[in-house]
Amino acid sequence: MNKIIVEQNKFYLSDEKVILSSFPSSFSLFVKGNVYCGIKDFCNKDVKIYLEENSHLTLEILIYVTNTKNAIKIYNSESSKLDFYYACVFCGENELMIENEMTTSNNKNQIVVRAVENDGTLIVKAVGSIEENTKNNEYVEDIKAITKNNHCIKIMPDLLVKTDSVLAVHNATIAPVDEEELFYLKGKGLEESNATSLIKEGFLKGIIENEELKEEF
Amino acid sequence: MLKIENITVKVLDKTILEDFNLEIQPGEIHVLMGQNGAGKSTVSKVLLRDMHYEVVKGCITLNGKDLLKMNTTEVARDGLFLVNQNPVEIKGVSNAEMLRTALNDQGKKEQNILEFNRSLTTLCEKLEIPTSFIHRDINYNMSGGEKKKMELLHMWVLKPNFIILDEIDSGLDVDSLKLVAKSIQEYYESYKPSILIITHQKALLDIIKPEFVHVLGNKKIIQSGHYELALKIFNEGFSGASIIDKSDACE
Ligand SMILES: Nc1ncnc2c1ncn2[C@@H]1O[C@H](COP(=O)(O)OP(=O)(O)O)[C@@H](O)[C@H]1O
Ligand SMILES: [Mg+2]
Repeated sequence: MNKIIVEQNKFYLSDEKVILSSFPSSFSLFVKGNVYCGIKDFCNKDVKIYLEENSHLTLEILIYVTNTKNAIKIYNSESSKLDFYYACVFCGENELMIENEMTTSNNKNQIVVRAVENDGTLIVKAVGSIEENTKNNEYVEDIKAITKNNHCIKIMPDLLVKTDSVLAVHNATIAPVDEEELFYLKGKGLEESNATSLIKEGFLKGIIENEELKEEF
Repeated sequence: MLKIENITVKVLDKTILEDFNLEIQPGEIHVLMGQNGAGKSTVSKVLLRDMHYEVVKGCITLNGKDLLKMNTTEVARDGLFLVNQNPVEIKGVSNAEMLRTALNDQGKKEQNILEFNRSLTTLCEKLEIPTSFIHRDINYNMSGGEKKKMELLHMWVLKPNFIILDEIDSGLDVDSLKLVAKSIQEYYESYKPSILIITHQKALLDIIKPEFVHVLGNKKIIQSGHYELALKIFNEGFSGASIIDKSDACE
């Protein structure tokens, strides 16, 4: 793993693979080339992500949040790509704000959120805007949550598309633990509580590739 | 031993089984046949205590216990194992993780993780599935045949004494079907479980010879016999064998 250059709350990442675990409450990530970034501790953070031309960032966050507000703002440059995976267990009152403004062309952003409720609420605000005079952009939001009822989570998508040359998709599902999955596991002799935790954990870890993040969770 | 006595089963207020009886002794192999929609899978779901299937009448005893007072976990721990017609996919939960939890929950002593993985690897080789499947998500992105083989891998690890195979032969190519049937036969010879096979095909029964054959129609078992009954049905069909009238066929 490379050393990260840090300068006044600015992280410069270039063709590398990093796991970040401590940083200020407000910071910026500058991404160049092909970068993988895993984040361990992400509570009450406000981050701005700048993707340079032709860069590709894979960002993974796997966390427990309790009474936190996280905000992520993404800025693309021409032909940049973002795969953002955010998986969390939430407790207390929480907010996640994701803003993505596309003012250039040939960008491909994918924002995947998986949330599991553990006695609390979560508001997800996903704001995507694709400006006019841009071409060939892709913007996908895929948000899923396991909660005991629909009141625990509020998903507020806000897609503002000002051009025809774009593929913008918003997908959101909120549901309790899947009954068929639960039945299957109990049918193998698992206790209901253990089956439930495996399903919830799998639901979150299923979108995360990094083993270190998964093991420490 | 399993004893199903006069059960009536409803799903969403629709009666699927009525006055249904079936008794299976330890080590016996039974086949349940019947047209699509007759209620064969319902029998398996009832036994595994799927609460969507409401038993409104009758009783079921499993090894002397009242099965209708047990939940799915307890039934499974008592040794009942269902190979589902359509095994569900569970993202993010690996086969190894599930099996380790299952063994722990069954109170079997904690296994050395290396030994455990080695035994799973051996099973994969026997079942001709990639060893990487051990750490793959349950049934995720697997073909129909691979899913059925994984179910057998689970069976070998959990060592049930009562196995229900719900159309394990559907969607399998000839070679996989042979391998699956042989694996079940080998398990049978090693552990002598009771087996309830639900099938439409002859190939599986050519390898695992059942002693008892039952035909489900009109919400109950309408005919029971031995292997020859199954052969007759394979040759002539249910109506050809004058077992099910057109009027009996399920809607
Ligand atoms: N979960 C369910 N919800 C509603 N109807 C069901 C359900 N399960 C089974 N049924 C109905 O019960 C009947 C028997 O189904 P099933 O037991 O799956 O038949 P088989 O396995 O013999 O093809 C069918 O008419 C089917 O539609
Ligand atoms: Mg069926």
